[in-house]
Amino acid sequence: MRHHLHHARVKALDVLREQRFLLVVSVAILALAAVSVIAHPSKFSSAEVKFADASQSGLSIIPASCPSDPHRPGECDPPPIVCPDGSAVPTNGVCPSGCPAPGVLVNGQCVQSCQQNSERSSDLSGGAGNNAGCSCPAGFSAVNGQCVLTSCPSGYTLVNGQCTATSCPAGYTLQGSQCFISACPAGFVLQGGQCVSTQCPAGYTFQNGACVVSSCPSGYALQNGNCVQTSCGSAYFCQGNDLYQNVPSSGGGIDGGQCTATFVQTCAYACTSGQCIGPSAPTVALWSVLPVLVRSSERTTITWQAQNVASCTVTGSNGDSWSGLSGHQISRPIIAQTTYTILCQGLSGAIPPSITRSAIVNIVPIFRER
Amino acid sequence: MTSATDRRTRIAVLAAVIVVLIGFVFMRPLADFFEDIAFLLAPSGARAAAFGDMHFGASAAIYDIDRAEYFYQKAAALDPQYPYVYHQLARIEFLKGNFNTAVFYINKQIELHGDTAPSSYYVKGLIEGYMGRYADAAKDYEHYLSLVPPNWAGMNDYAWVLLKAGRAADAVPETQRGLVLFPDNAWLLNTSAIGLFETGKLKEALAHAKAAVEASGKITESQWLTAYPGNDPKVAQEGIATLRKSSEDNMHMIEAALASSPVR
Repeated sequence: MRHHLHHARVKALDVLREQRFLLVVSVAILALAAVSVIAHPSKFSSAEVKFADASQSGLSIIPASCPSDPHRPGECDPPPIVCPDGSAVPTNGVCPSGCPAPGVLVNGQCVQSCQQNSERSSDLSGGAGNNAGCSCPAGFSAVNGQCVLTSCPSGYTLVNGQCTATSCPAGYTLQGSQCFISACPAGFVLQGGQCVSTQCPAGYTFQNGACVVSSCPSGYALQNGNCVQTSCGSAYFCQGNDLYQNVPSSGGGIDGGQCTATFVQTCAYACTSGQCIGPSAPTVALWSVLPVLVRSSERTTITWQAQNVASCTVTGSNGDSWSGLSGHQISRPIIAQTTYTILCQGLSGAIPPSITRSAIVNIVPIFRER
Repeated sequence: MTSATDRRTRIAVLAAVIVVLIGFVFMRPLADFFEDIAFLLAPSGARAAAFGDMHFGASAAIYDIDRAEYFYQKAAALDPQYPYVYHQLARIEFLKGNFNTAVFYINKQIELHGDTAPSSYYVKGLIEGYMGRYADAAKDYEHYLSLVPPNWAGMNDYAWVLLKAGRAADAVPETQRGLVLFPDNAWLLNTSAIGLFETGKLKEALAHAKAAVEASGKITESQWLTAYPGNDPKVAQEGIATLRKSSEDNMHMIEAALASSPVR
């Protein structure tokens, strides 16, 4: 008996715990559900939703924004053309009625149909019967299901179903049914029905429909519409060593525009680029005294070569002496320090007038033990 | 023993339910977290723009304009030349009502891509129209319409700014041109009614206004979201209500004007 009571008590406690647990879970679920309402973003109402713009008379204009989404092109475009019976246009373009899309058969003839708007009131187009439910572009009217041209823009008149010009803009004249240029703006002239520019470059003027020379540069004169040379300036030139100058044939003035070469002088040395030039400076291209250290009584070798010189002299302090523009000589025995010098005279008028080089030859010292 | 097993089974089932609910409740934040991880693993302008497009689309479950803006900003930072990045940012700022910022973005878009992205001129005209710069808007709409085949929204919105600029005489042929191609379009019919009214053609205006009311009554949420892409699908009904009410008010005003007009 006691055992049964204990068992029943335990079971009751278990049930109680379970009910508490379920209560806690239910409360948690409700709390989470409440949070979910907060967690999800609320609806967004844009500036477009309730926008209506009042017109000048107080009526409400409603703009849209259909083409603004770049990823949905064509959603605001007109529907594809279909046959009057609603079927798709065949590949050959002819509908089952026998008329090319979107035409309809009217009284045995194919005519361009007005757009599908059969539900609208007939007084939209101001007519009735066959005109009902038809909207045609400006200048056209619906007649028997067809849009027919009935009016033309300003300056044109309706002739045989087509608009023909009746007046032309400023500067044009009406000839027949077309407008032709009759006056050109400033800076242009009428030539052959076209406006041609009268603007010419500097030194040219507009004459007889073309730009012609009106002025010549310095040293030239206008003759028969061409520029002819009138002065030779002071141009000098060389022929060999002779210097010449261009002068007008008669010493100046307009005379057929001819220039004559006149001899000036023969350059003493040379003529280059229209002027006389002097000789080049003297140079010693090669000067060699080797060896410069010898034992007593040994010899040394002197070698030289000069350019742009009249003469050269090589002398040694020991009495050696040679001459020539170039040379290769062996000295006498060297018994003491000896200085060798080359002296070259430049060509007449050269700068500097002469040039000199030197070299010293020494004796190897002798050491004696004490 | 059996009692303990049953208890454990019940607890396990409850735990599974709780985990599923937690997953459901925190799905969006968790989804955003996993989305960020996925992007960080391979960041690029194209991927960022793709995420932006996903959150800017017409799916109510994932529409999130702030999240879309976040990813388009990333795309612009990673690849400023990526097509339509600044176009989309301009649209977002426009929808949020930040028109000056929208103009900045759309000008940048046009500077980068010009006539290769004609719809950007349309968006620019739209922003300028909302800002009251009707003359500028008209020029942008004209340029846009010169680049693309005729579409009803382009012609309708062009007529809108023409009307606001006092050019009702130019707005009427524009809406008439649109109605040839889209004879049952509620927006065009409404705008056409206004243009006809303001050019003195009251009878024709009333006919168009009545047709506009009838057409606006048939517009579905899908059609409205097509007409206003980038909007939260949850607000479609509000937008349809705006169009319907405006059409009805216009019709009543035109009726009253016609009734009191000495010339009919």
